[in-house]
Amino acid sequence: MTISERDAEQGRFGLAELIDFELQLASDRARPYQELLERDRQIALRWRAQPKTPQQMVAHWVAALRRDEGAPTAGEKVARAHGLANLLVFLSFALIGVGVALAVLQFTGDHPINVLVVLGVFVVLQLINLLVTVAAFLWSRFSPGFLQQFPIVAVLRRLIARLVGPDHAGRFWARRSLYGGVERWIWFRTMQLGALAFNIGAIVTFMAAVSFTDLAFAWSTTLRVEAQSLERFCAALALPWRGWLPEAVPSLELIDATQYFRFDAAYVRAPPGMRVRDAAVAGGWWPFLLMCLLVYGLLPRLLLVMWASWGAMRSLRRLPLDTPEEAEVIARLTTPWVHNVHGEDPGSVAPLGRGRAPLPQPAPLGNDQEAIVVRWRDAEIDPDRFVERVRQRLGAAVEAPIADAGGRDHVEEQALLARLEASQQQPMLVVVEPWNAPDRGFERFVRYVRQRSHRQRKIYVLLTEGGDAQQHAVWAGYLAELADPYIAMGEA
Amino acid sequence: MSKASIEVPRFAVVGRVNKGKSSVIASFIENDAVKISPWPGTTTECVRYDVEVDERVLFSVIDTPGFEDAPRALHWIKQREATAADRAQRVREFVDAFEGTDEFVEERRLLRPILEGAAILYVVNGDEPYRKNYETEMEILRYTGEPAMALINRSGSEAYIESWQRALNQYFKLVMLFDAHAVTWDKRRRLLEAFATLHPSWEGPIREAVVALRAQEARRHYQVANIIADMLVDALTLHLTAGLPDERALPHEKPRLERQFHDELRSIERRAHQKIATVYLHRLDGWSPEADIELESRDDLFAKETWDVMGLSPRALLTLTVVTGAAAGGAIDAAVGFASALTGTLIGGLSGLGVGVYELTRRYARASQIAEQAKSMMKPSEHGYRIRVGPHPSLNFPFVLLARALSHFDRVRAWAHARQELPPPTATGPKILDQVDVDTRKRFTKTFSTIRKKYRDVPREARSELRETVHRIVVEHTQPRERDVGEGPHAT
Ligand SMILES: Nc1nc2c(ncn2[C@@H]2O[C@H](COP(=O)(O)OP(=O)(O)O)[C@@H](O)[C@H]2O)c(=O)[nH]1
Ligand SMILES: [Mg+2]
Repeated sequence: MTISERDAEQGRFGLAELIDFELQLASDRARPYQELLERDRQIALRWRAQPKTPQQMVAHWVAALRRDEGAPTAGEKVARAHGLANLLVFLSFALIGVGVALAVLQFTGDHPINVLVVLGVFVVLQLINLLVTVAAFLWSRFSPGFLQQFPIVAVLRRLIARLVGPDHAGRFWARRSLYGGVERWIWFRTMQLGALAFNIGAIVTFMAAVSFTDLAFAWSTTLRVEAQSLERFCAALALPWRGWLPEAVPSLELIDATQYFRFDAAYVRAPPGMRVRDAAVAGGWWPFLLMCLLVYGLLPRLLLVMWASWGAMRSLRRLPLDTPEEAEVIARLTTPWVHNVHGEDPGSVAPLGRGRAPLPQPAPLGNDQEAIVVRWRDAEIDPDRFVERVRQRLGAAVEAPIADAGGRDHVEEQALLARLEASQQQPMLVVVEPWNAPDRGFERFVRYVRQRSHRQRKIYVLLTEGGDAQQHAVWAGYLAELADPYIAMGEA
Repeated sequence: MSKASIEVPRFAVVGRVNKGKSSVIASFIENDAVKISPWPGTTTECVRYDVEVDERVLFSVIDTPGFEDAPRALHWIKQREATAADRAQRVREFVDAFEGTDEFVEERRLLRPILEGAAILYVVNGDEPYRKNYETEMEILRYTGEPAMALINRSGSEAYIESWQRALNQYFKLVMLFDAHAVTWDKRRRLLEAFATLHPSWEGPIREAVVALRAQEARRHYQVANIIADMLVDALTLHLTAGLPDERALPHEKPRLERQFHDELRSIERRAHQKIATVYLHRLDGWSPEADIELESRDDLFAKETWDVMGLSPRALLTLTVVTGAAAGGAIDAAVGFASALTGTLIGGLSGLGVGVYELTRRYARASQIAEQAKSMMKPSEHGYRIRVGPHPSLNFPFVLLARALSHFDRVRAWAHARQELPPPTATGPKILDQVDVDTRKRFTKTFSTIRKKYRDVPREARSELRETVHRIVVEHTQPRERDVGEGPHAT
């Protein structure tokens, strides 16, 4: 089991899962719905423990589909690219931190380092930056994608898009409104991670400089600032640690002693007898500066990175997953899959009578003929009217009694067969109800008549009223299949 | 026969040829693979359909060839009958006696599953008059001693139902009306519940199947709501853009653009309607609504596409993005980017520029191919004039779409699988939306206008709100009818 599988087993729903989820939705759009039903329900049936939240369920689902795929998925690629981008950001900003610290702490021995510049760069500018990024982050809640205006985010987006292909990235970004809440946390975290690295680089450099070189600090400004004001300012900055780390609070004496005029290249109010470049005095600034870097640079960024990580995780976990497409997946996973399993139906739906000679209409029989009338399967007729019609239409009389075949009592049919056998050539009129489709019983009856009596006996199949064209066609087709030239079909 | 397979309830659907046995099965288990035709003898072999829920067979129905020579078969059996206790044995002997001959082929095939323990589902056609020869079939079935119930199929005309019911009640303890061409989920459920009464040990699996079907039906309603909601979002946000060489070309291009837009809208509707059919396991490939949705011609469908966000031309915006993108060259550039963000640029970025870049990338984000989109965006400035068609400004049109979709849903729901073609619209369908209360209507109006306003990037809340509201309508429409309509099983 790989780490990502194990995570998914625990219902982890991270950036990779989110992206894979989105891509899966996109590719499922083209698949037949029934196929999805089967696939997803089978995934759900294989779960050992039922996931509880929709996010867990989706994570399990994505993990199962990934398992089927094998190769790293786009989501994993994006997550990896994003991790790599974070690392790059971290390293390069650590380097920048080192570079900026080196530049600020440049101490050639000609002039001491201006404490105000250090504070300006590492405290004031950083605090401004912090406020701006936090404000932008808060604003991005109302305007998804707002963070993108930060060059770093724009750059990273390009970088990630290049790593995973614009197709994958674009598809994700196209649905920003769905995941904007997650995205802003992720970018915010990256930004703060860079700032954190910047501070680490700066602090390490500062410590190295303090340890391995002798730094001299001073303060100078073009403005008219009294030592007392600076002392108050420093005391205010040192408020958080004054109580427990008094060494890191610059004393008024130190401040007073380290005011510096570049013009004179000299500490103005250095006590008599003290050499201007007395490192012990000038270096007295560093614990204060270090604490400023730690408390106003590193600490807030650390807290922000932690907050952003937590926020990113929470926003992923809390994604409502309630848009139609998302809800759909959950429904497929949670409802039973009802389906049929069966063999092929070998039956044929081909029409009958195709390619056969059409059935003739019943021809008049002539006066000398007495026809035998058979009611097939209890066909209902009015005997008197029927006899009359036969006489009119076919010019024939009806031999009494009217017989039955295919009816409830098979004995009647047997009796009829005996009568037919005796008569040989006498025409037979079979009255059928058109809705009663012809069947093997009928076919057998006709075959029997043919076998037992004269092969040229006229058989007229007469359909009663009430059938529709379809039913007539069925009878015509069926009779045509018999390919018997002495069978005709007409109306009763 | 193993014990396990005996515990799966099995139902043999039997009856006279062409009375709709196969149709009953197709509608009952929603299977289009069952062969149905107006020609007798379509079903030549028994075909077993296992209904599985989550890979477990809960019951089976068996399609059989019809009775074709029942009177003669009963005659054979009766001649050998000794006592009522022997009857099942006589039927068995009948089946064996003609083994290998071409006599009673259908009867033997249809009786075999019954003799192996399947319950009997006897199907007659309620549109035809009752005739006494049906008693021979019923008698044979009774001889088998297996649990049996009867279904009156069709029942389009009331004329013969009563005589059928009187006759069937003589032979079956349960008689139900079941019109294979007008089967709803509710009728299917009732039939299934009737099955449970045939055999005490079948209650468990049948109840399970009913629960699964109920869940399936609920999921279908859910799915239909999702499809309709997605369709509405797609239709409300639909917009095309076209570049024109000159503003004066617009009046000449308008009809073409409008037609293109309307066609696109119609195809969104058509695809959604087809998809609704697949939820109910039907196929409507190549189908389109009989009456096209009427779309008025309006001038406010067209808008000049304004690319100049915050006073910046597209070219300027594009250059900006490309510049920030080009910074992706390496970590150093990224560092420069962030370093500049650290200082004043960032504060400047908060003003118009940043918003402009954001707007632009948001537009990009709609396409999967960022680069291509960028290229196409360059074109309008060459063309000079860019026109946007849509989103459709009419307030009425999403309601019309919704009403049509709901009506279509009702129609698909009433579409029994025995029917090849989508039946005509139902009487209730077109009225579904009319019955919606004022509050819901207001909510729709609000959601519709939100979606239209944010057509570039529809917020998650609007999507899920729409889904929920449509789902509520669907559920409300389907529920009351399930309670009040329909006749329960006729027990005697
Ligand atoms: N109008 C209508 N026709 C039906 C119905 N049931 C079956 N049919 C038609 O009757 C014919 C025979 O149906 P089929 O199911 O093949 O019957 P079987 O031979 O008993 O299996 C076909 O043309 C069906 O379309 C019904 O409920 N209504
Ligand atoms: Mg059939």
